Amino acid sequence: MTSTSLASDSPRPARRLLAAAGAGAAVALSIGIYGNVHDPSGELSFTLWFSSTIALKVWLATVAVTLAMAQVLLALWIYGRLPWSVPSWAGAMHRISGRLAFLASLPVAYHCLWSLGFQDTDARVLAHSLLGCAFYGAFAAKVVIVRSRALPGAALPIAGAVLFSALVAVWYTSGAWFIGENGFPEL
Amino acid sequence: MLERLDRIVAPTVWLVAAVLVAMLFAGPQIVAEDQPTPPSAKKSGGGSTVSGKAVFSTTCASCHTLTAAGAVGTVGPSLEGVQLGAETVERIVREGRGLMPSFSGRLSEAEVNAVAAFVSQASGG
Repeated sequence: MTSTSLASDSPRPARRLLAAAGAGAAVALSIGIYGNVHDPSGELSFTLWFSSTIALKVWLATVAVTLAMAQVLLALWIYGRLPWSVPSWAGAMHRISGRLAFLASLPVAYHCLWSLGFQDTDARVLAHSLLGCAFYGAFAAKVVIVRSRALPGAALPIAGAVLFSALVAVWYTSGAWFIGENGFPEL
Repeated sequence: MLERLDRIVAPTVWLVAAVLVAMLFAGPQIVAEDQPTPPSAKKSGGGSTVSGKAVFSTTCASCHTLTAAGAVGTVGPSLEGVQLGAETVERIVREGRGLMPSFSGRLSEAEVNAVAAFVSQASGG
């Protein structure tokens, strides 16, 4: 009997998967409720080292997606889905690229939440608001799954795929939309 | 080497996330310090140098889309190509319209005029 089937037969993995889903739902709901209840300031403008707030948001979101793509490729490599032998640094690089992608998303999400809040003015904006909540929910669920032992072997790849899909969708409804309408903003 | 870097990056990311979550409840004062100088402060001598674009960026951009200002707000209607005259924009800014509040008490006369002229020009009016 393999460790995977052992894990699948045990009641603990089910509880842990439920805990992961619960954590993700709690985070996504909390963000959505905050964005809806919080009175958007509409005036917060921070640029860090970029030329404007919108430049910061578009570039950091694009960087986050790029890092996430690298993370997915590294995951495929680690799982033996690429034709080359796995280098020793792949695991650490996978984790670092994921952490940096999450880090890059934070100022963007902060501005969205504080300054704009949850909005539903049109389909794109509503989709972006929902997907933004879903992304951080998926992130919380993945963190729980990564830190849980003895889960079904497919749990982590599925969680990673959901997280990556959510991030790409969030970017597609905001950063990609802006780039399509206006081109890349000046750094 | 990468493992060591990961041990530094991991707590840093969580720390930043925790600070930002705290700031969602505490306020944006820390990061807002580098906010552009308010347009009303950009005056020198006897002449007004109020920039309509700056007024737009700090007051209107979070709600309206207007490429000339790099604004992508979606709360209110997009101003792209709406061809509004300066007088119309002035009236809307002063009186408000629909969900948009009046800005007559929040912007000076010079700021209203400047932003109206900017929007009129940038929107093709």
